[in-house]
Amino acid sequence: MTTVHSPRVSRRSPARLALRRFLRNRMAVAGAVFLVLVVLLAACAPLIASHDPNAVDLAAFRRPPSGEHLLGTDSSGRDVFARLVYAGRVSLLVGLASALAAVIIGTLLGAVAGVVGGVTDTLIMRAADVVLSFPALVVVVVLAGILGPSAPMLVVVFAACNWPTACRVVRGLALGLREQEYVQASRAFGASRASIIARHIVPAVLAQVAVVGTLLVAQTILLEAVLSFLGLGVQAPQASWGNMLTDAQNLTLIRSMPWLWLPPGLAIALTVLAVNFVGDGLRDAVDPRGAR
Amino acid sequence: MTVRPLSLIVAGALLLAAAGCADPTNTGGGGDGGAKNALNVYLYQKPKRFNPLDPPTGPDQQVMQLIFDNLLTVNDQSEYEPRLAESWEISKDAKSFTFRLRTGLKWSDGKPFGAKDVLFTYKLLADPKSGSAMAGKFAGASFAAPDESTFVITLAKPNIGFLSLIAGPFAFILPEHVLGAVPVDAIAGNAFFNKPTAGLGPYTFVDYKTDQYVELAANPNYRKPVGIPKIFLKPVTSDVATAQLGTGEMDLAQISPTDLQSVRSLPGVTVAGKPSPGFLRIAVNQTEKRFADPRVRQAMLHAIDRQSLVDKLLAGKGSVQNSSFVAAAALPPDLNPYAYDVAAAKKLLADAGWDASKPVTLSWIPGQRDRDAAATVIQGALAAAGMNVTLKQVQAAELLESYEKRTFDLALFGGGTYSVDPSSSNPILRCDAFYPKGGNIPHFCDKEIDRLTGAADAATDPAERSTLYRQAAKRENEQAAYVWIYNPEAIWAYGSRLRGFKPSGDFTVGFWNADEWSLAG
Repeated sequence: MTTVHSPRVSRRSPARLALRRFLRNRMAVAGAVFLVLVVLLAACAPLIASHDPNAVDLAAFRRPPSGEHLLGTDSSGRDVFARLVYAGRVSLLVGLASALAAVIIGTLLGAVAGVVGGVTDTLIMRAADVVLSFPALVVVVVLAGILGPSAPMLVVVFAACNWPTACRVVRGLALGLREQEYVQASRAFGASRASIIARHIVPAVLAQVAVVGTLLVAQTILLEAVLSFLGLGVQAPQASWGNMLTDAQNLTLIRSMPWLWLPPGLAIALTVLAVNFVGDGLRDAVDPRGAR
Repeated sequence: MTVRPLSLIVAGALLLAAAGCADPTNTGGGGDGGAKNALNVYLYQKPKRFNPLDPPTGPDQQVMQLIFDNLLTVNDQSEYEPRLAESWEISKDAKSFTFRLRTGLKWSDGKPFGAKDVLFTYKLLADPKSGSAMAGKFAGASFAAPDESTFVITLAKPNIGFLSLIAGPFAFILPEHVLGAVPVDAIAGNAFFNKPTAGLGPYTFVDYKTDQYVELAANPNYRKPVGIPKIFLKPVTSDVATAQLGTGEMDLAQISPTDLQSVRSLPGVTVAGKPSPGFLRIAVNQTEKRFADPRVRQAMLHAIDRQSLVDKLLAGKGSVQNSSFVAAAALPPDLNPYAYDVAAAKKLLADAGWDASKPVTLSWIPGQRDRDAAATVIQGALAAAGMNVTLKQVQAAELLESYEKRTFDLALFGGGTYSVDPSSSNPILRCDAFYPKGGNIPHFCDKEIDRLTGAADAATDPAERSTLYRQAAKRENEQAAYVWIYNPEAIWAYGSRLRGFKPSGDFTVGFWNADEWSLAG
């Protein structure tokens, strides 16, 4: 008598498979862990930092790191650690908010362009080409000069400059999805274009859009830092990693007071690196064809 | 290993760039005999052109001081220093100024110099059609050259402080034999001002390579032998200049207090500080009702720990300012020092009925390390006294517009030249000098101060004039026309090769004795 062993069929959903592939990518996991840490630090800033980030104290002027000031104090006697943690809030918020806005705009426009086609498609894609052909940094510098520098301005401008990336990806996918049998079937049943976009296109492209969005986060965090460093981004006294670096323009300070510029510099570099690793991991995870 | 074509190109370009660095200003190595005899001087901004009719800007003035000359200037002791004029006399009624000119002088192109050149220049300076930015100062004045070595200015109104308007890096004498035939309304665009071919200064203009250097050579026709054959003036950032002081590529530079310690430790570099002729201050918009009460301004003075600002931000290189007057003759010894006292500030604000809920905006042009930090500190200090201050970084044009429309609350700014003569402070205080007519940005107005300064300028007796100005300064100190912050010292650093340099507190007049400089070794 033989026992029939039913073959162990693991029921793996595509999401599960993607997660498995993601977890196998060590750099991506390390990046994700680091990001969670940074987000936690920023979110719990008031609990972690014992000093007010904007409290000026001339008695403690450019002090080196000590027990009282973990990362020393800056040129106005403010605690560098407190500023670093609070700055993380601004930098992450600007990065996330503008990437999210860009992705939402891009996805909607891309889906419309792909599904509707014709003149609408041409108009949307040519607009995307126009936006893409401008160097984003220059546009942002000009707009910051006109609109006046502030964090909300940065979000709006970054979103306005970065939506075409998501738009192109989504349009390309939508063009293919449009011809799939299940979409054609729902169209034959009389589904409106809006419902096709909402029910079939958007859910199907979410994974790819998430990848684009993640990489955008890294890009915008870097842009925000650049602009704040130049004085066109987040304004004093609010701290951002970029404007904390302004002191690093002086050779004497670079040489003799690393605590003024090393922490924000490392924070920017590591965060952007981590986000990029996560983005790469996500891309490999959701697109098995690209996996080796 | 794969070699990418791009990296090859980049490497090649770098090699070429390194080989192409045969910079004539490079004194490193010492193999080049010409470079050894050259002095390298820092310019804090790019010069535009060299026209004494243009509105004064620091780097242009610095270069013009070396290639041109004027009647008199201001020395390192903030005193008048004779240049082309050997001596001068002021008439009893303080209206007529007679200058005795040096004789036998030659322009750098060999042509003789005389009173006709001075007359020609002052007529241009007083004529608005020439594009002269000084025309307003000479309104109603007349000029005469009775003989080859005498020049007379006659003013419409008595002003004993008139010399302070032309002493310093202003009113450089232009060659009539070069520019005399040019129509007055076309002179501003003349090519001479881009490449001056004749001057009276110790050096002659050789070349201006934009973004690189201005090259000057010793003037063989100068009235005495000049000690340095060549000068290169280089517009670089202050950070670069500081680093080049250490390598010997720069001989003379202005440095920021932040760099003081590291520059002091450089071997063979001398650091010298001098009080500047201007000061950092906050203009409080007194057309706003809430700021009209002097007690509000006094409270702000008490709220800010100005001594700590000087000690920390300026590394002690400066002093707390308590008056809009800088000239020593106008300062009485008993000015209220408005010491740091938060309790007093709170009480003054309460007495004045200050509404702490309404926000106050502090505007300033960002970019200077010390000033940016000061703005942050001031915001914190005023908040501690009960003033809800928000910081606003603005561009120059925006700030000037808010002055004109009176839409600013508080404006933080510095500069000015007030040290030679007390009358130079009048345009920032008088009731008839509200911005944009004059420099009275806060719209401060006190009839008694106007009466005192007016009487002082009509007086010809120095003691009487000083007494009147001291009374005015005392009253201005009580009224707190401005919220004065500090007077930063001008800090110069120079290498051991340079001899004879005498540091001035005013950067723009820093090269006043360049004809006495020499190079060691």
